[in-house]
Amino acid sequence: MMASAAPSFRKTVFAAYAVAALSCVIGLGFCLIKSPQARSETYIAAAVGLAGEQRLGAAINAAAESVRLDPTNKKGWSLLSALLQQNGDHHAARRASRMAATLGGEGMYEAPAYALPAALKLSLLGNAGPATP
Amino acid sequence: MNLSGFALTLAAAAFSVFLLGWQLAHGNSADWVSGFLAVFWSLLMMLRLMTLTAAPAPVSGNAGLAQKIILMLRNRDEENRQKTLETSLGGSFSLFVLAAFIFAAWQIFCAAFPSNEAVLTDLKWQAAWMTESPLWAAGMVFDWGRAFLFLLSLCMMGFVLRSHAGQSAMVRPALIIVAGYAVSGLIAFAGLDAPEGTVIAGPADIVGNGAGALAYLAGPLDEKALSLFEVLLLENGVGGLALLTFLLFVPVGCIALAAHRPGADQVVAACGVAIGIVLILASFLPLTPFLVGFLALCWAGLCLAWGASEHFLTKEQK
Repeated sequence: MMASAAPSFRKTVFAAYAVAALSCVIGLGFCLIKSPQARSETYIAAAVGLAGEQRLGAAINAAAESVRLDPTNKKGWSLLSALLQQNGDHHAARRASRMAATLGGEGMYEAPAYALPAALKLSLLGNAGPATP
Repeated sequence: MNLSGFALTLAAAAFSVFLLGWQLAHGNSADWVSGFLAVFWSLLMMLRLMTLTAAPAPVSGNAGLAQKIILMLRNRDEENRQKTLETSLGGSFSLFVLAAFIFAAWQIFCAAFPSNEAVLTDLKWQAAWMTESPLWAAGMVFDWGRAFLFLLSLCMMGFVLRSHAGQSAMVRPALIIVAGYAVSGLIAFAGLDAPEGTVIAGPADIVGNGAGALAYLAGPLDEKALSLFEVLLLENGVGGLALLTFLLFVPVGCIALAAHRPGADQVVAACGVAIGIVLILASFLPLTPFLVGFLALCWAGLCLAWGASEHFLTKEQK
């Protein structure tokens, strides 16, 4: 394969082949594995579907899984808040709502999610009621 | 053969530009695109390496005039192929690839050692929160992986385009067209308002390692559309910006160096420098999916001009 490359240049050509092959393999992996952000969106869709079927517990589980996969997902927090409210867990719902509000507008800069107080998220999950994982 | 290879490479670059714009417009549902682009350009790179390093077909006998002519032509082709390979992989390209890997390492350093203590505390807390799952940082790892793959794809695209840039008869018109698109695109993007919902910035962005990042964190980030410059500053700090500037300086410097030599193609140099300036100015415009595609188009044009200049410099040295 490298027959025509000069002997001194063969190592460089070999390295180029190696980099190309490596990025091909890694790229294939990234093609096949869904990102946590995309999976989070799927869980939101599932939560909406379950809520429509009046399976509130399962819907809350799906919404919680969505924000677990992507804590910066504003839609996930909003949905979780609405579902918790519907479940009668007003305290946790208010906290989830505050999380969504802190995340800002749709498509805006998402960074503030990580600047939220740790206790807020911890207590949210801890006090979400029996239906929350 | 050369023309078809050149045309196919340009078509592949245009396809990549389209895919990048499309990916960013569709958000998370199109997260496979960065992986696909890496596979696509790695296959193209391997194909190009194969054509440049394939063993020449043997010529039977050398007694007749026809065989002698064929042998002479074959030797000349072989020499050209060798030069193309050495120019495309060596020279300033090796410096560029080295700087790109240093930049990737810097990104990992920024992520591992954030400058903001509050962020660090929150990340630690997040680790505690997600203890039941080893995937707690998967989102960030996925983002960094995609950024690294994108960088690799740009390097591979650079190699393939540079390897085709030796044919000045084809490079000249292509560069004039790309430079025209670049300048008119910049004017169009500068006149557009930043639409909401198109800001590309992830949670890892505040893990920037630099004083500039902290200054931006204190500002009202949620009220403005970020430019590429601001995103890079938040993500990589001042050190990352310096590395990226060096990455851009390598091709533009090579073009400027060739432009000063007698006999250099001034049209290629002018187009290359114009595209480089457009790249710099566009990084201060609000970042939208279409702007990312536009930047990729400019990068393809810059690689062509860079390759043409490098080929000229190599020819001049020999």
